[in-house]
Amino acid sequence: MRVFRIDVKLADMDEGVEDQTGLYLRLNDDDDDSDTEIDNQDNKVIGEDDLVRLEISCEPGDLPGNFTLSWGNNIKLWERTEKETEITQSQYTSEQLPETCYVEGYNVSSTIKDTEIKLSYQAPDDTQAEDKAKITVWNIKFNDPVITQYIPRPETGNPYYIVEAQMNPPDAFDGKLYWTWQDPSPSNTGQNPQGGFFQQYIENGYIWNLNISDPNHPFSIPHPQTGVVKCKFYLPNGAGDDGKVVVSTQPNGKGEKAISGIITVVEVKIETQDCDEIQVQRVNTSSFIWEAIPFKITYDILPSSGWTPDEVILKIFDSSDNVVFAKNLSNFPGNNQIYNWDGKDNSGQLVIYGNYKAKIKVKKNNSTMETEEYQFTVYQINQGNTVYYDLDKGPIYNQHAGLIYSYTGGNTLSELQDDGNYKICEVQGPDSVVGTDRTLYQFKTYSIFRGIWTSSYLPNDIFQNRQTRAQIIRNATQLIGKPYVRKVEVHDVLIPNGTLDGTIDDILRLRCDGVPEVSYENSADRLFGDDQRWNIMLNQENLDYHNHYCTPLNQMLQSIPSVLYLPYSQ
Amino acid sequence: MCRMILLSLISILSLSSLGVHCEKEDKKIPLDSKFEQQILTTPEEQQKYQKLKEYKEKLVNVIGEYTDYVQKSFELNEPIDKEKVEQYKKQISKYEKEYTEKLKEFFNFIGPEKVFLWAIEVDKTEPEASGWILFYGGLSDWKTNPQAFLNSYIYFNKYRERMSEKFKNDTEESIYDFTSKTMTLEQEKGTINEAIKFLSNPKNQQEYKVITMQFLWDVWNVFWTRVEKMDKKSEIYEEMNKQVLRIIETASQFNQDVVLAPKVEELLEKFKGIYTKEELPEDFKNSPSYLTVSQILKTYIR
Repeated sequence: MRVFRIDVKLADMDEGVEDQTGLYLRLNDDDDDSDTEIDNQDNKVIGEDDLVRLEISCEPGDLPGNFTLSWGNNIKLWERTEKETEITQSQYTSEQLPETCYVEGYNVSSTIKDTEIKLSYQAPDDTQAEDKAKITVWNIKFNDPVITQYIPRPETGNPYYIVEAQMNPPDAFDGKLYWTWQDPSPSNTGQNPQGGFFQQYIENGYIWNLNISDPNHPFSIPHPQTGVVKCKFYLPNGAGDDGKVVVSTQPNGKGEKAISGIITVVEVKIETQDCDEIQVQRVNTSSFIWEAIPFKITYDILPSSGWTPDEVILKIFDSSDNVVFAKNLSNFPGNNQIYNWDGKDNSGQLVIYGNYKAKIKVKKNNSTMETEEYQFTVYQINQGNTVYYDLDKGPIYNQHAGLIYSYTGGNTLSELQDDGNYKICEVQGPDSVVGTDRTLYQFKTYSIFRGIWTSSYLPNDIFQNRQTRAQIIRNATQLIGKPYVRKVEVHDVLIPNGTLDGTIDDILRLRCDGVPEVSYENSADRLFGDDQRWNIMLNQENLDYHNHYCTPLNQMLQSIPSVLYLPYSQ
Repeated sequence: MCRMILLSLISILSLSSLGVHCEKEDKKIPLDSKFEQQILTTPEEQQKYQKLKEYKEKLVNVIGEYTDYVQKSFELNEPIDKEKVEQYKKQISKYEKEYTEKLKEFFNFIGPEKVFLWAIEVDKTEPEASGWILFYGGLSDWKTNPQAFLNSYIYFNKYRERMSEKFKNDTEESIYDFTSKTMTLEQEKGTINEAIKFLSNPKNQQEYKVITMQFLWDVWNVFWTRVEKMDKKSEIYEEMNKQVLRIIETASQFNQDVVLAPKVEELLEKFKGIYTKEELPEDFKNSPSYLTVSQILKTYIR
């Protein structure tokens, strides 16, 4: 009888450990040579450090008979640590047996110890023997985040991120994975989340088990089929706070572990207290073009340094949530950045008055952050509307007429509602000229105010209506400087230079109601008069008709009520 | 261009000649109320004014109801009842007509001089309303109403010291513009006739006749300077010669009047100044009555 010994020795483990616990061999899915090819898919890896030494031996060294080496599909054997030459041969004689080779975790085990390296021997007399070492090819990795994640800071409370790691087989290392926060840059603004920042995560009714009996060493139990662990991970709530999550097989990041991508808290917000409250549209009294007072939107993109958003987009929505305006803003982070919106949509037209909201969206990698909606209202000043007050003195009752000429306020509701911010175009009486000296407040408080009116013949279409109003203001501007009729001419709406030639230049003097009358009708917008003779500027006959029938009171009675601005609410 | 020559001595005449009471101002009563007390001197005037104010109040109230209704409906986005609006408008129209008639009646009753004084007073606080007073008081339509023009001229000259500068300038420019720019021959004829008629009426006060003589000269002379630019000059000059004859004839009635006689002489001197000019328009000199007028003026003026 011949005495012999065959042996496979894996990572210097004792024979008993080899058979019982075996070796936990990590899947070789890193990239030690940084060639962007995962090492277990790469045939030559300079600097490879994940392979485990395997020693194969027999005694006596010339033992006759056949040797069979088997190892299954989860691992690969290589002649050297840098790989290059894979061992694929399974049948050997004692002389051929490789003394040393290196084991690579190639596929993750389905269950623990499901892989073994076995050396079998069959002597010429059919005596058989074998030695084996059990292996569990395992892996821990983060599924999410893998790369830097930008987490929007919420309005209230702490931001959170649901991290997902995976360990296979699920029951490796006693089926426990420990969580730790790692601040990657102590000099950064980052700070560790305070206690209680882990939370069990429930998804579609499944509870991702989290043991927080020791809050300093919380661990998760991997899903029995997939090995996945998930945890709702709360972060500090300051923009710029960042860190990584470590998942490990032992507490405090010890044992085998995986490290997540960086999680950074970022913030994009509209500084509502610094934004304009409303936007006002008005006729510019120099160019006679409708304009909107630039609407100031102030916003922050934080942290103010250390990153650059891929894209910053401002969108303005109408009340039906249609985007009326979208614009790429500067993609630099920072505090108190300002964009002034000119009130025009993407086709260059002023939007229609009404309710709008602004939102800023920031994109970075695969993260998207959006501000809360900032709601505001666009108002249109009804320039060109007429105003009247009672002329009630002694035995006389009549009215005085004027026209809302301009808005001198800004983009706040209190300014909009302040009658002191509206100028009235009027001619106040004998020895006065057409001017815009008084505000609506002064006009209203002078006597009994009879309200705001306009022509019932103005176009309903908003764009035509605006054009008309701009033209009325242009006409009113042309009247500025013209004197009131003489006292003895007060029965005439206007006094032309000779026979009326139909131009404003030809008007020598005019009565108060002549200001609205000419402002409207010089551009063929009817204000007072019958179907045939309403246009005071057309010919002498029409002028004579006005001189006979038109008074401020009759002009008001033929008008329809209106308001100072739209949309109107009390 | 010839402007109005102001008769300063007349301007200082007090309101007492009109029966207007001047009292020390009471600061607690608004100026127009105080003035109303001064100007409406008879119970009948005061009653009529009270009645007028009631008509005015009715009109103001219905206008207030109408404007409140339509304005509020619009602001609250409530439908406007068109029938109701029409009713309001009819009512306003009715009340306005009634008020206007009563206003004219009232002004007619108190007479143009008080109307003019009222306009001067109201002008101090509400110039725009003073124009309407002149209008409803029948003092503004000079083109068709020569009496209104004459009255305005007389009261303007009499009360110029009471007027604000603005009122004064406005009236002065109106008189100047009318006579020197827009007055037609027909209007001139009507105006001269009205003035001659006024002079001839023994009921009219002397001080007003003094102003009227100035008025006659102003109107005739300013119009005369415009004739050369007009068509049918011969006919117009002849008409104006005849006017001078009538003026002389009327004015000569006052030769024995202590107050008016010097003014008559002054007026005739002015005419003589025209007629004795070395260079006169040919059509004027050739008009049939030219020589007659010249002869008469020589006779009257020593």
